[in-house]
Amino acid sequence: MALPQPSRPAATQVLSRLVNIGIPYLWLGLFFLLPFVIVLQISLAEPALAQPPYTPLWQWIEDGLLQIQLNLQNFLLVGEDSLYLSAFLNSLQVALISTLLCLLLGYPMAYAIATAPERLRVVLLMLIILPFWTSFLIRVYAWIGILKSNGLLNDFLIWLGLIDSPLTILHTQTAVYIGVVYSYLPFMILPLYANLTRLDHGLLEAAADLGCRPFCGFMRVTLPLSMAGIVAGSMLVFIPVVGEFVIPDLLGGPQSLMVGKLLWTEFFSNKDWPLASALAIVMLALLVIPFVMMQRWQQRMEGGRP
Amino acid sequence: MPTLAENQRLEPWQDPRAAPYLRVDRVTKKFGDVYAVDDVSLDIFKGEFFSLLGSSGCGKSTLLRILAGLEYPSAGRIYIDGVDVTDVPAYSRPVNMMFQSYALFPHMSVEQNVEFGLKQDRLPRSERVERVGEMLDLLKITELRKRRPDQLSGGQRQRVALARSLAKHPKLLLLDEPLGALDKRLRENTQFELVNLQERLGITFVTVTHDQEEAMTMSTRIAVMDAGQIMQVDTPTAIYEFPTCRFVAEFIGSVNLFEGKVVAAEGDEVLVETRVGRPMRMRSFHPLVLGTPVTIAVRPEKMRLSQEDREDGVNQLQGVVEDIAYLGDVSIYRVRIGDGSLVEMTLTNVQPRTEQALTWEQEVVIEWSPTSGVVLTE
Amino acid sequence: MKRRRWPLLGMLVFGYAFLYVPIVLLIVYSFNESRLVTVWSGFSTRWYAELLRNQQLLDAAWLSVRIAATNATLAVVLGTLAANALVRHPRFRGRAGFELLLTAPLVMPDVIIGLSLLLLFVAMQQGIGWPAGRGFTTITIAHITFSMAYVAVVVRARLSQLDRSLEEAAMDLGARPLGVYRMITLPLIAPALLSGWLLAFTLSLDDLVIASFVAGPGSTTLPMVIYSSVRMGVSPQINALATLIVLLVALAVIVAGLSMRQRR
Repeated sequence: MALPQPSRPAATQVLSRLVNIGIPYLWLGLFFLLPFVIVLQISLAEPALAQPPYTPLWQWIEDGLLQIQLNLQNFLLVGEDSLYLSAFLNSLQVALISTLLCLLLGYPMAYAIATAPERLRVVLLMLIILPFWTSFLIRVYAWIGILKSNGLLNDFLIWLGLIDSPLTILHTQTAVYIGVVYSYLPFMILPLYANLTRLDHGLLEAAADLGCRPFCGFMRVTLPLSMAGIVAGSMLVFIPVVGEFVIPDLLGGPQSLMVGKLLWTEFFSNKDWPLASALAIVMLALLVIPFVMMQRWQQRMEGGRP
Repeated sequence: MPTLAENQRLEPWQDPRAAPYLRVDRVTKKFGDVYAVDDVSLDIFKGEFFSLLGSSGCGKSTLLRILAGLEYPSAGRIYIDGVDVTDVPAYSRPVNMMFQSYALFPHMSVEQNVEFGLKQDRLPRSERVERVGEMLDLLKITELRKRRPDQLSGGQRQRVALARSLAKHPKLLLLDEPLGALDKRLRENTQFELVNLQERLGITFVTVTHDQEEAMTMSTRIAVMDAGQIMQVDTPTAIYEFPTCRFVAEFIGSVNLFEGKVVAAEGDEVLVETRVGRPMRMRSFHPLVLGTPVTIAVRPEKMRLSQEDREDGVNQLQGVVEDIAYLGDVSIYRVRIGDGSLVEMTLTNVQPRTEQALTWEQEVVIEWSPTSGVVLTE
Repeated sequence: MKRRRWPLLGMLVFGYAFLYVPIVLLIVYSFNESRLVTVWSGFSTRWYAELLRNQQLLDAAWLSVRIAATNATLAVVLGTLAANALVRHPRFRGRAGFELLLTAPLVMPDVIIGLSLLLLFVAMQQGIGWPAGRGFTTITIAHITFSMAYVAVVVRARLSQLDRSLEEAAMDLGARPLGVYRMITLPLIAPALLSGWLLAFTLSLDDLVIASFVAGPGSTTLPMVIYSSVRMGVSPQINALATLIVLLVALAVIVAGLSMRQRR
């Protein structure tokens, strides 16, 4: 066995670093981070009838002077106009309430799955993941047929004799809640499940042995230990729902104006790119806090792993 | 009686002219601020069965991984057969390792696992087939050749791992807790098999273990490690009978320790005044200056019951039997002595237990001879 | 504990009913003869036949599948690299930023990703002349950007469970680092790569919002066609299409699940 030229193992490490870190970093920097800089830049521009439809932020005027024009108009508009303000408030409200609803429905489900017999658990979990793989758009669409005034739900309720005339559900805030909870429930259940299966059942037995009744055991052992899962699940629901477009557009009505839809309208219908950018920036600013919270808890969850 | 030449062949470390096969020269490995291996030097000779013994986290595994080339030392060099291999990556070292978890490739059959290393050497197919057959034969696992690792028992996996690491005919085989994953019964049988295999193939073995019994049974020499440093390197007998420091004395087996000061020295014997009040006369291999603080270490089985309480009380302790643990072949007695501390003594149960002389609360006198313990200086 | 389980079971049944009843209804009514989707008038497969004659829809589906496959392949490569980085290099400068950039696309609202990428593409076209026009390339780039994050999550989980000593053993037996990755690591994380690929594929096939922003005039994807049709109200053709998609996905998931089980 001949000994080849000595080489420090460090050399392959450097190469591995360069490829594994460098390439994805470069991609994300170029196509994820850089765009935000441009959005910020354009949010400070004025709309114009041009291609692209905004004024340049800086231009060279004669004698080589650089002229920079910053326009805070868009942000002032977002802050002052009650339309935008109420859209933001409504988005936050929908996100908050539907997160709570997902938690109320998702926690017991995740708990039941996590405590189910091993063989059943795999199937139950699969059934949670499966809808997530089918088209989101189509699943939202399915609710239109169910919720509309001559739809399946109303037919069913009338057939049961519970109501005489059809309820108006489609194009209301209620329909938005149904759609959001329906679409985002798996996002709540999966992290909760991951967390709850790691829970040591011995802890509950120890608590019971020390005189804690089942409810107390749940409140003082299970719930605090599953906090990381609760935060992760809640943020996975809350953050995207704030900017949701498809659900309010298809199921919501005029009362349930959400900022995602507003941004879409400003961009596609009104062709006001700077205003759309300003909306995106404000939305980002609102989402920073929950996002940082999610990151923190995620790291804590990983740190807690053996 | 073996002649001197024979002795030097059996114990090459006694021979000043013998060149070590593996030389670890002042190797240090730091992880952040922690010294996992701290300035370790070792000479290991051809054909040795060498064990690195220590509790978990003492740096023994890190040292083994440095030998394999899986870790790069922060300082120091490694020489194999006189060649500096410190900068040689793991894949080109003439060294193979058997991993604690066995690390059998789960997506390959037993045969493919054993063949893996030979393929890396680009050996021709016919030679590979022959070598694999030879290894499977050697470890008596030929009938398992088509199985996958998850269809094997613990003992079978161990054999496959061994076959795989031996297939390349390494000159040095590293074994990380080779018996750690086996149950007790299997472990005892495998110990002897491993030693036979090593003697038959003439390969130098370096193993890592936390099990002192295992190290004692199998090794030509043992290095006891603690906190990244080597505390003592010696034959199993010497490690047990003549520990050179308190750590080794306490780590291997049980021991009674008495702290004191040297008050007289005559010939190779010293007289030590101890905390327990009674003086002790012990053999010392080094001359000791009067007043040197020392610790006397005496193994429980070296203690015996005394018939008379001598006036000078040298190497004698009076006490009361407090605990008796009956282990079948021997019994362990814990005796409370004058200063309130406990002394442990083992006696072979020559008579059936019912007829034993000693019982709880009984007053006894214990004694030992000056040659049945060691004097430790620190 | 046993006697307390029935409310929990009730929740479970309700939850699954909530998740599955809409899909089941969708499938059932795709075989309805009537144009009025919610009034049952008899079994028929005519909507499937019409679906197959809808050239616009078929074109869009073909474009979407091409985008999805390209996206999935590249996202698996990039996502695996990123997972390698996170699992194999516990400490490097800018790791926190790296992790942030890799988590953010998972939750970032689609409208923001879509808008920002469109503005980037416009600025790039103005600045360096590439990409000239928008379509297949821009949609694929946009999809890779968010789906690689999902792939990274899946691969990372598998990679961090991987017993490192397997790779060390291979290296000890003479395999060079790249060989170790090819002969040991890749085969062992293959199930994760497969599910990552499928995940990226469906994420791309499913995306309406981002694609709408970064698509050009000539490139209409399947979700865009579905969306414009759905906005007009329920349509039995869409029900038929939905049924096909659901069946396809269920099939893919079952096949992937079975192949994963066999590998163990």
